[in-house]
Amino acid sequence: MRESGRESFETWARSRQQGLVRTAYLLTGDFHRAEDLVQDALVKAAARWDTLAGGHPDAWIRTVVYRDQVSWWRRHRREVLTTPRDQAVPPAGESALVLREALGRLTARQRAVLVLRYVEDLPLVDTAEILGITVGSVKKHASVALARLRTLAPELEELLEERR
Amino acid sequence: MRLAELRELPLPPTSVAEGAWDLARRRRRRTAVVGAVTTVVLVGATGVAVSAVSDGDHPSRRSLAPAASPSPTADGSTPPTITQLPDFAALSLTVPTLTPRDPTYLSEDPVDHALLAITPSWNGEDTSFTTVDVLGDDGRWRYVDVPGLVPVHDEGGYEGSVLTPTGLSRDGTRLALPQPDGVVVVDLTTGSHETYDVPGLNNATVWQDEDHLVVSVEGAARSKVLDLGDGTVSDSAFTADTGFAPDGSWVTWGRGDIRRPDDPTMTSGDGDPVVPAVRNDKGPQLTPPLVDAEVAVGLGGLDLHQGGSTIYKNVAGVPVLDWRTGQLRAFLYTEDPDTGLVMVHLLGLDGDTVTFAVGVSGQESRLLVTRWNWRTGAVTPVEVLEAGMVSGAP
Repeated sequence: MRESGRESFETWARSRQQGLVRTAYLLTGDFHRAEDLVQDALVKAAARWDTLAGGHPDAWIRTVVYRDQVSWWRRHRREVLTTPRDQAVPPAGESALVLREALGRLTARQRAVLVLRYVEDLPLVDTAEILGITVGSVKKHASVALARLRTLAPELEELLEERR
Repeated sequence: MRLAELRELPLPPTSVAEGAWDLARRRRRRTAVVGAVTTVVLVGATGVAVSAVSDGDHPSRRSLAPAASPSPTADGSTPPTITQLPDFAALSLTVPTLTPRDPTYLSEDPVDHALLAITPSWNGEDTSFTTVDVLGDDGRWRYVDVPGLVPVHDEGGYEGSVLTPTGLSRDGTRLALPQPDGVVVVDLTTGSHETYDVPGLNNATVWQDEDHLVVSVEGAARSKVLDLGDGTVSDSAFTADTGFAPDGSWVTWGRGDIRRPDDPTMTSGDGDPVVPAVRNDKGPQLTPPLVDAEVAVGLGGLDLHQGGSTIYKNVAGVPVLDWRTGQLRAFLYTEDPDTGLVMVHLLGLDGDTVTFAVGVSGQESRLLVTRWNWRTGAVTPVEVLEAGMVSGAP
């Protein structure tokens, strides 16, 4: 961890933090938890910056965030993770609110697949690689998750348009 | 509304990147510091981890106040055994992997007793949470074919496995599975099962004795006690983190977060203040300890809290306490700062040997069953299970 890497790391981290926290928020439904998740990932990235800087730090940190969230969820899945209205987050439009709450009803992996595929717009292969599952599993999770979303939030009929 | 529109979801500005570099540097330095201060911290603070103890037969007995921090050597007793983090990934390569193969239906092919019960590796499907296989003492697997099982879940809809580490009875002849508004008890020796009405979102069961199950209910501070003889359910003072010894002793592990901000000895290598805390549970999920007549074995850890808003959540482990005095007898590290959160399921306590399953870093769908002799510090891998959850001490 060479001090000479500090500037490039901090420039990169500042430019990515808001997007990463948004993604983490969609995964967790909790803004503070999202910040914790991203902060932990950034600390890990800093510790490895000597090697990450010359590679693909965006993909690496995205993987860390997703996998840490899934791991965390597996440990704490009995805990209520989301609140209907996160006081830290400004009010969103009604549709966004319904969708956000519906996402919170999915399993961690289903949610991760949907966020990666349809919010971050990643290809199937990249999604599979980040989550450590096969492309076939990604398709299956996405299909099941979308079907569940349609059940949980039938008012969002436009979700039917999510097809790849 | 399309999912992609969530990219525009308004969020407050964040500054999580600030200080990440310095935190990473401190974390690296801290690794060395931990070795120096850990023993002091553990010895000094873990003594208060057991918040309520009893050797009686009813939880209404007054809980003891947290014990004063004991000194392990003040009375000439043996210092605690501190076992450094084993290389679980390497250990997992030295033992066979156990996978349920060709399971028969339990109802058609019961067992004399089961060595362990598992749920398969979690694959995101609901059936991952309701499929339970048991390994009979004859070395063959059975599928627990109880129709209609649903995953346990909380009020937020988050689902979990019907199998918990405390589901299998001590003698391996019965299996308790929590359900919403009920508990299913499977007689593994006959393959039959019985469903008991227990109101609430039940999420875990612990065998108090042969005739009583302690059932923890989502959102309830206290557990229910189910009498398997007559099916009655009664309130209790037990909590979800109460464990029972064969002789009827019980220990509530409690949850502490014992910070010592005024301790002048706690500074990092570069002079920054470090606030250590020993917690008796790594997370918010309550876990009952393993208990015998002498010690209680639970989940705990050491946190180092840095200044500002950032909190390190590091180095979890397995403390062994003399539950009558609160004195730390041993501690096994199961995690380091770089491995992230690691699952540990406590499975059994037999004399000096603690059996537990640990999630291996990078192998999320596999659990390494390990034995740890807390008196000597010897760590022995037993087998790798392709499982998401396990109960029993093989």
